[in-house]
Amino acid sequence: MIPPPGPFRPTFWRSPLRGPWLTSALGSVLLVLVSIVIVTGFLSHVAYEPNLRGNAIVPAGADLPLLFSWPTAPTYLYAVTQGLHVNVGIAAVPLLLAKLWSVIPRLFAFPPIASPAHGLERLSVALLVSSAVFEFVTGIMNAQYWYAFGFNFVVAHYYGAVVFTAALALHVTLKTPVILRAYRERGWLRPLRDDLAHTTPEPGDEHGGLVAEDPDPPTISRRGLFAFVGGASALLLVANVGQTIGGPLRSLAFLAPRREDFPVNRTARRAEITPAMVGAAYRLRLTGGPADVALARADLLALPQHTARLPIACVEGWTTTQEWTGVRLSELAAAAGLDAAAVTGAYVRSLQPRGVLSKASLNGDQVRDADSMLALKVNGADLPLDHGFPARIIVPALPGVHNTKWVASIDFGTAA
Amino acid sequence: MRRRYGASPLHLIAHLVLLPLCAWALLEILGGRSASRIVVWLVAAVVLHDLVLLPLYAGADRVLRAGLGGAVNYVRIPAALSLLMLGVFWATIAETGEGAYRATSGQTFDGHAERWLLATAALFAGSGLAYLLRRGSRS
Repeated sequence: MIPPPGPFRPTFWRSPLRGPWLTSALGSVLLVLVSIVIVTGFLSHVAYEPNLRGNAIVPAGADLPLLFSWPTAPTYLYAVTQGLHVNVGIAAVPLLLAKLWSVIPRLFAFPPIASPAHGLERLSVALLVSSAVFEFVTGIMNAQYWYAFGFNFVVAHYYGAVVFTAALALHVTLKTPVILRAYRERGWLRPLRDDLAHTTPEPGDEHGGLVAEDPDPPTISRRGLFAFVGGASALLLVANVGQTIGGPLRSLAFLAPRREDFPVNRTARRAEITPAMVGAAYRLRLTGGPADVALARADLLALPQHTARLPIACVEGWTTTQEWTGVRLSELAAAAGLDAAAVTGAYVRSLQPRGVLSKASLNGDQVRDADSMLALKVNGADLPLDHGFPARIIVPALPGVHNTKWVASIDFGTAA
Repeated sequence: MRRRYGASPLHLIAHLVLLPLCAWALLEILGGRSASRIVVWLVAAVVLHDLVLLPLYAGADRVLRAGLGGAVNYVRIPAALSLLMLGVFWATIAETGEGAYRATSGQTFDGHAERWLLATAALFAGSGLAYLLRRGSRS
């Protein structure tokens, strides 16, 4: 069968760099990066404790059974996992593009489906490319507040990740023999030794269709291509990573959305918090104990105070570390008439009248941790209204938005 | 098996293990809210990358190669890096994310476009310098 003209003809593809070794090498580096992004992505789902009351965004029970109780130590745990998710994801973009470029001739394979096996594999590759581009685009848009999706980001990004992970596992399984053969025949790094003058096409691959039949002279060496792609990754990383690490690096993050030292995620105005709600009439309600308790802010200030320097890490990948002062959650459990050791969790509601994040549940370890508190002050001063005055939750290693602001009530749960 | 199916039985088994997992996730999407929008985005993702973005940059690269010959890397590398920054940080540079950002946080994206332009100028300046140095060392 003679292929139709254009990209279906093998002679259409002219790059002398394409071949099984190049694709294997690009794919191997990309695999390491996306593995980090996948693991930290699913860890973020775990960190949101979707099995606790009010926490699920992906419908409860309709996710993979891969949950465990999220720990409170080290305090920077979520800052690290989510910082890796966002920043490694951004740095992986050039590798993804280069990897897809290296295999584009296969999109135009002719005949399009040579056998049942080929058809099945093309279906899985279509799912892989589609979900990969989808996950990168939606993730990056969401981290930069561009909510143009018209669908729930968390739900779509979660199920897209399942498709991506399964299709990737399948692809890696099928391609491992091809990758190992390429490394065996051409060496792990040997093709990187060639400078431009010595850059020649890879020896032919009879089944792959990647090596050009009629190549142009090279304009860049293979190591030049890797330096180009690696440099692009480094540049994108530098443009963003300061918002995760903070300190002097923050101002270096020249394209990142969050460049201020102590960002406000959601303003009081946006959350529809009025001065009357946080004024003299404010009472924190504690329930779940023998009798309900109502505490004014002065009552809270009269309880033993605890100070700790803790990070808030957002799902968008930015982090800020501040010194918080307030009442330990275990102290509040005692004030509600409970033995903190028996508390299995807490359901926290905000004064915020609506919104997915107007409530969040904490697990028992998070309630009991010695640094978990209802913060009343930050850096020695009263909380600013936008940071949750009169009182907000601060729990080590908790995803940022679960540190509920403008706390109205805490309902402690016990096993009995 | 190999002759009729076209690959080893393991090939088929691997698909039968992992494609159902993909199918489950896709069925959850189809059964949930805004299913049609998500499906449109999934299809558009692969079509726009493979049939629009890639041919566009490969075509632009071909034009550059024809025009610049051996000096092509001094233009295409800084150009690619600049366009990559623009693409990845489009929402902060073009401020398409600013509406939601301002409504939520009370802040604005300030100076991102300017810093992107400065970074672009710096990349081309570095590239031009490298070109001059190389030409100088040759002559």
